[in-house]
Amino acid sequence: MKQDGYYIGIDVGSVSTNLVIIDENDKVIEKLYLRTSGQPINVLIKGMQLLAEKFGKHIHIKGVGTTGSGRQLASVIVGADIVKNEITSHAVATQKTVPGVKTILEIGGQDSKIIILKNGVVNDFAMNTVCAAGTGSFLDRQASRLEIPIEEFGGYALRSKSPVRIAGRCAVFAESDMIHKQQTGHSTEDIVNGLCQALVRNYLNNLAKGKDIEEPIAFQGGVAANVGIVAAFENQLKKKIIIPEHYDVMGAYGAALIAKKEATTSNFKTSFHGFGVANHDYRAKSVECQDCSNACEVIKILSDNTAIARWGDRCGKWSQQTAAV
Amino acid sequence: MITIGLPKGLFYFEHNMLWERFFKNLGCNVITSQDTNKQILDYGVKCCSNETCLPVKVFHGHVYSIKDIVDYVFIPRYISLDKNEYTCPKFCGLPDMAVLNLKRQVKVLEVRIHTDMFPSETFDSLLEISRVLNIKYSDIIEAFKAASKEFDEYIQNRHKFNQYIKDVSSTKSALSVLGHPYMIYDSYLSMTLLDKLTRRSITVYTPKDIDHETKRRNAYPFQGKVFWDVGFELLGSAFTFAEDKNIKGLIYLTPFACGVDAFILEFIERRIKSHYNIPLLKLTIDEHTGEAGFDTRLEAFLDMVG
Repeated sequence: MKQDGYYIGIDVGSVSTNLVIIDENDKVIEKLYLRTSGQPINVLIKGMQLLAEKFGKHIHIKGVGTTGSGRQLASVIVGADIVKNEITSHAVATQKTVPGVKTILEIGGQDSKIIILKNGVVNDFAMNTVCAAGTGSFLDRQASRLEIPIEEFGGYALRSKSPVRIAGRCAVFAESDMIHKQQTGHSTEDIVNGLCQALVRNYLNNLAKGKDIEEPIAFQGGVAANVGIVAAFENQLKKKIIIPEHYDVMGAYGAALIAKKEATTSNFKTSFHGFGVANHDYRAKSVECQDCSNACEVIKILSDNTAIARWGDRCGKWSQQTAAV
Repeated sequence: MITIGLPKGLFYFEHNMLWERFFKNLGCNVITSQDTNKQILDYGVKCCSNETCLPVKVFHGHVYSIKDIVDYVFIPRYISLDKNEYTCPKFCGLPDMAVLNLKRQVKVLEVRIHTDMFPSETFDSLLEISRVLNIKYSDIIEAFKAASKEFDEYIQNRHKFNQYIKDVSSTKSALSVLGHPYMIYDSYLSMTLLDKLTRRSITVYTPKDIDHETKRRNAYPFQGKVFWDVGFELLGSAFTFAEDKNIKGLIYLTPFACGVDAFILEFIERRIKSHYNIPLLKLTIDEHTGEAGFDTRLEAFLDMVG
């Protein structure tokens, strides 16, 4: 088993942190879906611990890729070979699992994306703008307000007889709309279904506006677990939606695939710090630099009290310091 | 000596040279506010009304930052800069807005420009400046004409894209960045977009690399009609760049809630989709300083154009 190479993909997102190990045949041999809970470093270390306990001694890691909004952070902690944006990572992973995929719908915790592929390359994409309305964290919040476990949320929607209309453009308006509908006596099922419909309507009218949604269509990201949303998509698009096997960790899977491709084509030696990273203490410190009027919020990543990376400065003064070390 | 302050926002990125020369010709001392920074942004957000776009807020921050070290802050009132061309309503009322938002704690000098219907207003406002600064009107006119002439010559000579088009052997790949000048050239507001691209050895072209007439000619579907000047600039640029095979993609930088961009972008998106095969990335900027989301979109776009 030792000779075979394995690759790790890590996706540090706003809501979940996902880790994937793939083998030389691009098969996922392990996947972890952990809640980031606002503490990306701790969760990442926990994930590495879990992987170390299970595989640490037996497998040889040949490459590591990170993605997600915390990709830089993850990269310095575990020692990544490639750092890739989520769009490319998702596109790579989906093409592997859904051959010939033409449209990728992805709804995560804070981001939602649509990726259009033509002839196997990304041809167009869009991400939600400034606001996180209509993403997973909004559903999360509404589920907990209605005291429904998020896992059962979609089931409620499917049991609805007649969905109520909920404003989907803005999360704040959607919430007050929902409360008003509750107060007038609509059933929870109908409201939940209305919310799923609103979220999908908003997605299609904003993100997907003017884009040709052609089959095969893959739907991934944490929200793809929600059967209510899936049904709403199928209903509004009148097309079949494919949920890829590893829908919840596609970003991490893509990052692992990209790392593997890089490792085989450019034949690098991995910069992976080893599973031992889980034994170190990592902390992030944020300092407001006072050297000029930009007052940048500089982040310092400490490993056992030694600074291993800095970023957030516009002038590059701080980030260069550690890059040189 | 009279000290005039020029806020480094909005009109500044297109016309700073004109006004700097004008006041220097008059023998005034000219102070420009610093490049946009967090402090200026904070001042702006604090003193400007809440409903405006970010660049207008930032402009107020610039005014605030120099109001106590200058005698007058110069804020031109651009209404129309050419036949059939009008500015964003915020520009039309900019001097009033600044005075009111800063609770009249700032002394403003303005020059009105309304080329389409009332060109003589410019001279009325210059007369007013002559009165306020106590400088002879004929000297003001002379200073203004000299500055305008110098500025026109500068504009005529800066179009590198025309030369680039002629250079058909060029195989260098390039991108075009579109947007209001005060978005794309303000490195704080643009999250150093131009730097991020040039650091990756990408050649970047912006609307100012194309001459005035070419942009008007290509500003589909508004040629010869009344429209926003920035609309002519951006529609014309988008479709000129889209025609060029060396330009691999267009990036449009827009401030959140810009009503003018809402129209222009829609026209660009539709025509790009029906007539061209060039990728277009829309980047929206607001007050947030976290660059992760911005960089993700940019990196994915660069991956896509290859």
